[in-house]
Amino acid sequence: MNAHLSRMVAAALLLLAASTAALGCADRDAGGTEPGKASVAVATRNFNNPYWAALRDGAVAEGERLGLEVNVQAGASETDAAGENQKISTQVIQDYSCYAAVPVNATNIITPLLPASRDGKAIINLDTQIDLAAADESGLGVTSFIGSDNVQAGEIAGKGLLEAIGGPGEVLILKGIPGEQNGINRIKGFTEATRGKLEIVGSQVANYEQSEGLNAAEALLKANPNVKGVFAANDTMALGAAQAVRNADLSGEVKVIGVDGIEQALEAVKSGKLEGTVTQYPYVEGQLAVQACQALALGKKIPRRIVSPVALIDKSNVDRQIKAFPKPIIDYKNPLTRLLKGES
Amino acid sequence: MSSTAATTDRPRRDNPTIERLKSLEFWSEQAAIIGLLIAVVVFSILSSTFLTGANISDLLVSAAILVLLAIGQQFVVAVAGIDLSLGATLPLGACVIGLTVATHGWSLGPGMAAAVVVCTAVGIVNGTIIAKVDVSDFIVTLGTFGVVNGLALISVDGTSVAVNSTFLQDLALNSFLGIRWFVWIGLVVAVVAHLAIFRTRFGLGLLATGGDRAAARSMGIRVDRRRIAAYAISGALAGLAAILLVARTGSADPALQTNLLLSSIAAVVLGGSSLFGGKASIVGTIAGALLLTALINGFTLLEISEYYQPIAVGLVVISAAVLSRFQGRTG
Repeated sequence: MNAHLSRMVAAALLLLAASTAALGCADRDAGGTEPGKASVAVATRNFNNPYWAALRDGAVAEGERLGLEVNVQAGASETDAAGENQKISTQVIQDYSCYAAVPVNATNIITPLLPASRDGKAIINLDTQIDLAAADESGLGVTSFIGSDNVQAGEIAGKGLLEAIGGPGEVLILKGIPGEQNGINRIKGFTEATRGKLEIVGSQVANYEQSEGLNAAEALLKANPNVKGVFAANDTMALGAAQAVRNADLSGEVKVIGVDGIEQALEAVKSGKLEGTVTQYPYVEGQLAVQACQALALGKKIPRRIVSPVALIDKSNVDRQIKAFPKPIIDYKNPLTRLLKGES
Repeated sequence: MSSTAATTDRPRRDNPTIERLKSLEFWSEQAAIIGLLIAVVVFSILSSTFLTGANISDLLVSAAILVLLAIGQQFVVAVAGIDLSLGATLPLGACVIGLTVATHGWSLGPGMAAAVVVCTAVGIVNGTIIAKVDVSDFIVTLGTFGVVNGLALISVDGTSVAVNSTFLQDLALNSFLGIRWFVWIGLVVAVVAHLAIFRTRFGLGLLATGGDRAAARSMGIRVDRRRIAAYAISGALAGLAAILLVARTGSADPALQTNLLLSSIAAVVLGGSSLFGGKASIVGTIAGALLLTALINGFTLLEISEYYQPIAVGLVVISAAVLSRFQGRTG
């Protein structure tokens, strides 16, 4: 009986090994990089968040378009610094010509990227700015930062909400994870754009979570009956706030605006639950990362800072954006297009 | 070959090695090592990078934090307990370094020592409540997980703190005698842990406590102390792992969420230890930790989608658990 079982186990293990082998995976030979052709390693926080999934899709699509090798890896969650670092250090072994990474916090990607930087590989910081002082101190050379301008996103949201309210009024703010720089910049932009016009009567941390956004907005709406609008530092909190507005039977009276442009938020704008969202284009960030790496492989000098576009999506253009998702519906100036054209 | 026992109604007995290979107990005890060998063979066939020195070195470095946590978990499992608070103790240790070194300007040595002390204290609290008040280990460590998680957030005001230190950076990247520092640390801890469990009275007492507490007590073993010590060791190793974490990520992040807690338990189970206590294998636990890390490393090299990785890890753990059902049943 036992001998029989153990034979079954052995057979199962062999089968497992064989089926893994049959997956026939694309392997990469370390150290093989054609001159004039970038090979790109991209790392981000996770793929569960549609935002990072869009960044991955943009990078992969651009790699296919330009005929370049692109490898995108991610950790397990928004705060899985250890997991992301493990992926990056494995990528570094594989000897790509260019590394583009979204950090979990201001410093986590520095140490695993150092060996690549010491080898003279290009390092590109994506989406969230790393601590440049710490990078300098450790000797990490960062070629370029690619990301959207979050202060600008906050300003656009402020102007959008001001217009929707149609004059001065009281507003609420929902903040993201404390200390997270993108969120701080968005709120800064919003506050500056609406100074003297909109009065912020309440603000609370809701950690970029929908349920926390709902709870916080519910409490704040009860405490401030004259509120006309809510600015949430991201879309998931905005969706929570929109739910709170409906629960309080204030639909139409309190306008909610978010940032990110995730699909659910676009649907909510279409159905009128959200006034608008300032969309960023992580898909474009992914494309730009691959383009920047290719420009570097061609020996071009790329800008230290490449700003990816943002746009206010409201009722007037939401249908177009849903159709184009995750690609942008606005024209933006891409400084890399010119550099890549020089290639032929 | 001695064939004295050969009779007509029984199949002929093979030599002892083959006989051993046929026993499920052998397979279940060696699940981690066998799994690791299979993973190494499969990945080196599929990827020309896998078996390079650079990648093996990276794999061992990546595994170091998990190895430390899993060895800590091994001590707790040996006394028939479980430490769920590790997932929060690790970031707390990191935050202690961030708070003392980056915020209050301590030098690195005392800061790192403080991390180990604080994490050890968490373990002592766990162990004391579990042993002296006799509350379920599961509940206590789940509770301390929450408390410790909150303390970490409070200590650095919820934000991640950058810890810039060339010493820590060198620790994460440099080698000594051709072997990376992280690997040395894992190796030294493993050897010490192995000797402590199998070559000392303390270790024998631990295993006796885990195997049958009442019997151990009647033999004069101070079981409460052994249980508290196991949790203290688990905490201390989490503190040591926190130093490596800060070295690798350059920061103390209170919100850190990783799969490390579950992986530490999985590594112990893969290693052939029984969750009912009384049985330990440092070699097995390390093989388990290496197997879990190798799966992620291999999948990364082969660019297999992120989504398949937890499935593979889960299946491997379940397979090991299924095999462990046959432990001690063969005769």
